[in-house]
Amino acid sequence: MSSNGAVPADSRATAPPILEVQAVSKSFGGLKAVSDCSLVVEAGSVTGLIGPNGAGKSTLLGMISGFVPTDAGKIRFRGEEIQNLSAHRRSRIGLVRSFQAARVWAGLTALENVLVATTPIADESFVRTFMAWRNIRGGQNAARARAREVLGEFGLDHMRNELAGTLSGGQKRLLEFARIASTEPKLVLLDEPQAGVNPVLGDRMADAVENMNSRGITVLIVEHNLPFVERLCARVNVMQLGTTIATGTMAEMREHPEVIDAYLGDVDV
Amino acid sequence: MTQYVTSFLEVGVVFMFFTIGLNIRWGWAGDLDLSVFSYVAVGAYITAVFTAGRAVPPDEWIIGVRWPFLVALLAAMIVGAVLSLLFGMLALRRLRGDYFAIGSLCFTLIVYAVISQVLPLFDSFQGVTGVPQPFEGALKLSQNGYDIFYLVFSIAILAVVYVFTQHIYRSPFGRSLRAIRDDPDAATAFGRNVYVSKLKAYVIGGMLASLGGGLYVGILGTWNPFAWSSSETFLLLCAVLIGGIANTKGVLLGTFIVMVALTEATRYIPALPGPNGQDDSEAIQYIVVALLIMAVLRWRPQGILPEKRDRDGVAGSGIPRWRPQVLLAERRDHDSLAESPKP
Repeated sequence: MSSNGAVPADSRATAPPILEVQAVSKSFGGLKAVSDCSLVVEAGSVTGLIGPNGAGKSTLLGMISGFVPTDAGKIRFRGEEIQNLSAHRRSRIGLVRSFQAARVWAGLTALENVLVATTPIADESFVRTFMAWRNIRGGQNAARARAREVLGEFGLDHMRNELAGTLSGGQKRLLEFARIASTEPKLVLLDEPQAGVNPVLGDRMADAVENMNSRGITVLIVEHNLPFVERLCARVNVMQLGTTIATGTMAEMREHPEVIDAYLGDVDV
Repeated sequence: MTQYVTSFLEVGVVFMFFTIGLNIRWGWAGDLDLSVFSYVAVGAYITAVFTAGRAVPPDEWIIGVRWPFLVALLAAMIVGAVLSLLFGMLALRRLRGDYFAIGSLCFTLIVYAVISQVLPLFDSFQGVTGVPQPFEGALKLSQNGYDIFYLVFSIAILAVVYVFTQHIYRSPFGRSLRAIRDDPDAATAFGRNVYVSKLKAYVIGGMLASLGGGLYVGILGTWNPFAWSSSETFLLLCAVLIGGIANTKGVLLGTFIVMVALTEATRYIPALPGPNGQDDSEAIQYIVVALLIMAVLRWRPQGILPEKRDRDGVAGSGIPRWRPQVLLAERRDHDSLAESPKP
């Protein structure tokens, strides 16, 4: 796999897409937020999803991750239909998301934040809590070691005993990334990871996405920062008024009249 | 004096069961529960009807058997757990935050109305009377000796409950519960079933509150709707906040402080004549507790013993122990990432 997230042509031809969104729709009262929208994410790629504010990008991300129920259409993840699966079950099969504002567990330390992610959910069983405590303790030692390692990778090791709520906005964003990376998901959905982030951290985010992708994790990014999208994403989907209007490389999108009209305008990005 | 101290401690220890139950629901799972005293009352009623024997007309109540006290306590815990499960299944699936708190208040009003109005259940406002002193037949003790025995018995059960709850707190389930409390959506995004986890915490909390209710009726010997009003719920909330929400040791300390403030506040205050000449100094008790809670909220919002942080290794971050928690006072944004190494 290439470091910029591009999928080699031969593997793209043979491997089925990791995510297929087929004609999904979502209305909030009279407002059609997503309408007959389709999207494909190739396994092992970094794919972008861009469009003007209110285009329905975050709603679509919510529908894929299970936080927003779909009114119509199908969502296939690794060949299985998941549109009726609850959000926590989608996460358990390897589909993990971030939120527009970094969401950390403020009353837990940075290490505990990652530890929640690295702990097998089976170890939280109430019966096992009392009947298999020794096994759980052994598993916790491994989970703790992994959490330390991931925090180290993201440069947060020195902050591991700080309550996550005391971290700066950028550190919270990194911690959220560390938490996601530690779970070894199949597909990561990132909702505007560059929002409110300084340029130094922005570069670090891009490095982190490349790092995740180099380990075989597929990434779908909703983002307004177009240089960031161009650096990472081999393919970009453009949404407007709740549906995808174009798909291709960022260079192709720049020449696409509908995309220019709807989103890019004449500004040189 | 000994008798006074013993009975004070007896009630104090019993209240600790209530606050531990509330703390699991509120401090760990993040659900402000205003119905906790309903579970205390149900536990007290169930223990009473399992030990007081058949009601003598015109009194009437359900069950009416004379079973051993420990069996009655077990029954109280089971009924408390089942009631928690039923209300939890109804409320926790959809209600969060303020809406859940209001929902729990409505539940209390319903339970209170049913118990106080449906005569055949627990004899309405007369309540269940004649609950024998637990183990009285088996023990040949003076009243003082019995009080000390019952205090030690309650403390022994409290110790078991403490170990049980601390084990949960330290377990991956306890950590996950606190993550759900801080941000349920983020916990869902990491595969946690928020509803089921909150329901488990709610049931454990209700079970412990009912156990405390059972022990309480063992002291009082009777239980009726007058034993149970909104002011008791207020005291439990105060105890948890003053001691330190989410910290079991803090909650125990908070309960003790509230009990002392409540019972000792009027000791050094002259009698206050009310409009009809009655002594109104009881009102002072609640004023003192209310002032205490306001002082804590102003100067120490995290409580006397804040939630314990899981510090990894000895190197740590060198943060002073009494540093305020973030949930209540978020530190200024200071991006130090430029200095930290790249991932």
